[in-house]
Amino acid sequence: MNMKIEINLKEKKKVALVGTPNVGKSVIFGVLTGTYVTVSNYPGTTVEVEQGVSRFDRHQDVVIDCPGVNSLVPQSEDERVTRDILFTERPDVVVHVIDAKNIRRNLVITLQLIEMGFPLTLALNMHDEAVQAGVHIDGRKLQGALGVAATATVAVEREGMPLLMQNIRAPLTSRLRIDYGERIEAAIAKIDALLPELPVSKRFAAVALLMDDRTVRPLLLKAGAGEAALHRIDGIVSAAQSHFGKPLSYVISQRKQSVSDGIVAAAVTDRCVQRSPARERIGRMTTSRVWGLPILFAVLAVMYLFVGVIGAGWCVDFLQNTVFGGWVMPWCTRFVLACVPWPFAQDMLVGTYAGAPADHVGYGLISMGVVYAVAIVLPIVTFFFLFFGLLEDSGYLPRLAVMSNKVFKKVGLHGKAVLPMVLGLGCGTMAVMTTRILDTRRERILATLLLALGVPCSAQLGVILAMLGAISGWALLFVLGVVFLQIVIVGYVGARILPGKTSDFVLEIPPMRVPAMYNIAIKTLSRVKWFLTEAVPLFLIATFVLFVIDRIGVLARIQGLLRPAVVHVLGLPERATEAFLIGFFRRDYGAAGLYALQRAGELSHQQVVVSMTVMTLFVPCLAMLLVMIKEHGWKRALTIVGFVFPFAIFVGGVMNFMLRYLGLHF
Amino acid sequence: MRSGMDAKKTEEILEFILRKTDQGDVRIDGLLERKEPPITLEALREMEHDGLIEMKGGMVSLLKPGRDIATRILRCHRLAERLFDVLDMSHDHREEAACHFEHLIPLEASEAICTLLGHPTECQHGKPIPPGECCKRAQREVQSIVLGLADLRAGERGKIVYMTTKQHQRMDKLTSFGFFPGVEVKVHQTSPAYVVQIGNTDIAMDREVLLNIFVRKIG
Repeated sequence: MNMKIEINLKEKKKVALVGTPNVGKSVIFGVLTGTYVTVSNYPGTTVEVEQGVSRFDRHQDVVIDCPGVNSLVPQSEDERVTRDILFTERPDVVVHVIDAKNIRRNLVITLQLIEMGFPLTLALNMHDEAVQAGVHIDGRKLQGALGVAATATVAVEREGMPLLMQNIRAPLTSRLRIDYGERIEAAIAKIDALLPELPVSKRFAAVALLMDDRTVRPLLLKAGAGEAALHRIDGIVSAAQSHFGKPLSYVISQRKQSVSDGIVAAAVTDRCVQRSPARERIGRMTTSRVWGLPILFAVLAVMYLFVGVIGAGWCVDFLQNTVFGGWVMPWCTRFVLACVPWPFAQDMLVGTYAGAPADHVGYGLISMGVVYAVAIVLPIVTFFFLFFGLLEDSGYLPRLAVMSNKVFKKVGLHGKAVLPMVLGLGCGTMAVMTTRILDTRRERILATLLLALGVPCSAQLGVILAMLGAISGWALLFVLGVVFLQIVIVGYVGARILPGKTSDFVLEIPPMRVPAMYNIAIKTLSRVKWFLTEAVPLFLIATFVLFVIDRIGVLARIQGLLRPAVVHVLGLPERATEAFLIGFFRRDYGAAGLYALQRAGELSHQQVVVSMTVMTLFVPCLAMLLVMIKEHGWKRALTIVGFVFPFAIFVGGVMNFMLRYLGLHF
Repeated sequence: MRSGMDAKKTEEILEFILRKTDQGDVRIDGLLERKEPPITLEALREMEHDGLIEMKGGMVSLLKPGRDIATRILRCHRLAERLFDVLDMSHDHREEAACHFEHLIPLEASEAICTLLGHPTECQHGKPIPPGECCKRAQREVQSIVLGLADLRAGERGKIVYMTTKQHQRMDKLTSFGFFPGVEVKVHQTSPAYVVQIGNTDIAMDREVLLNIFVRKIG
């Protein structure tokens, strides 16, 4: 028995998937692993790395999906994580997923992987697009030149996958070695002698050091390199650099590119066929000066219809009123009241208890936590993720980045920041995690600040749309306008206060594609799963905390502290205090609390406008705050909150007085 | 051939006279005062004998053959300075190297370099570079001029000739996307952001980034 397990363990391999962004890596990952996937943050970062157990044979290999890279000499956190995974996890096989039509650029990464010394196999993915583009790859010549196997695949159609799986089980270690010329080779040899044993080839580390890659140093220190050795290496690097007019990183990259070009010249014929003209024309229209904006607004309108009307309207209505209001809650309440004898526990679960007074406002785990999470937030988030998946897989998201680049430049960011911002309209917590795609810490902090300040998440947005829509379209536009203005002002000022410069906007625009529904479904499911496992428990904890502090009387005291601000500065009724307080636990909770007040006729239209604005600008929810702390540390996260909180009240106060003074009505 | 004096020295003196001529009249005794390299009356006589210069009333002026040589050398010198700037050579060696360079390169090579650099009209000190045949030709055939990639209009294609390397990070980003000298690119749009096609990839980027890439327009 024991024997058998040992053999199994021995046969278990670690397979790492590496490739540029938008190359279909995650689709291949999905095919290889099926549903047994765990998403975890790479230690010390917020970059998500997916791991799964392969289902393609009985060996149960572990498959790791590394973040997309354009180079293994890292320039972003994503790239650093991938390099670090390769460095520390020592995969037994690396699968390099290549965009077949862009093989020239991708081969440079292949050469880096070969340099690292890993057993390797290539997946020439999106082979169909390459054929359409007139790119023909002679597999045999390519394999001959590289010394590793290459499989043509179309992962979304499962084409070529069986062969790829075979090749993963029998990877080859290439003996290809790039000659960088006498001077660089001499420096590599010298550095080599100073390095300790490493999990990857010393040659790779030496080349990285010559390319002035600072991020590789901690790995070397961890592997046992001494400070003294590193210091001597610095000397070798600068001596080598003095022979060249251009930076060594350029010289080395150019050498790799020319080797790649040589291989491409031998193995690839590019007949420069016109790419599918209609698809290409649509793709270009989406970013053109004339059509770009109309298309952008059309996309936003469709998003509003899909997420706002169908998701937040119909679905929430049905779930909240019919399913929960009509069946689940009455049944649950009866069940709990009948079967749970203690009033305290009854109150905790369903927000009421036998003999409760009529005006009792309870914070029941089921009546509040579950209902909000499942009936209100879940459908909205699901619809949002579906739509976001469509945007992602159709290739529209990067185009949105092009369209919004100029606006983001004003606030110290660039077009790439549109991705976390749009995602923030779905879930701010997830969006803060996604700020990792930005290149510098400064940009990540700015984006996080703006997310915390002004981007309402889908659940909150749903409630905002419902409340303001009930008043008038103008009220809605007014609030969104004020919030947008605050984002721009804060971003503009923030960009000038935070040290550093905005990084360059360089972004690959993949071709427009017809999204495969199956893949979007898988993606949405895994995101909803994430929401259910990560966010819903927080809902329940938040509800429970509320219940407890209400019971022990602390809630009343905090409300007492907040009351002057709410009543006098914002001009809102006392009970709105509670909504703002709850809003800290989930912003949409708070918004929903205000919604209840509005329905009860306790808020004037002006008050709705003011309260919605403050709620949107208000502190992030608890989950988002936790992610912010994880991402940027206590100090920065608390600084952001310490700014956002008074700022929201301030803007609300100004609005309140202006509206009253000007006598504006909605 | 010319007795006692090598071609390099003649060229050097002619170039010196040309530089002086640009500033006004050139006096013989002024030339004789020059130390590095020293100019002797004998050398000037010999050049006069060869029909390169004319000495009249204490003044020196260049004759057509002499002026042609001097112009060619000065042009090579300033082109070389320009080239070394692009190559990012250290400043200390530039002037010295340019002085050697100017005598060594054949006409054909100097035209190739000039074309490569986009027929520059000034050296990096702002002094004029005398135009060569290739520059005149280039004015007729506009296509061969080297432009900043940002100067291409939507729909135009170019071949990358060189990239400037002041910011390493930017350079590394560009090279990781496959931007290298010799690569063909096509500008698809210039607003709201530039979209450049390289190989089969479209890449969106800011104008500032494009300013570092120089191309020769094709097609």
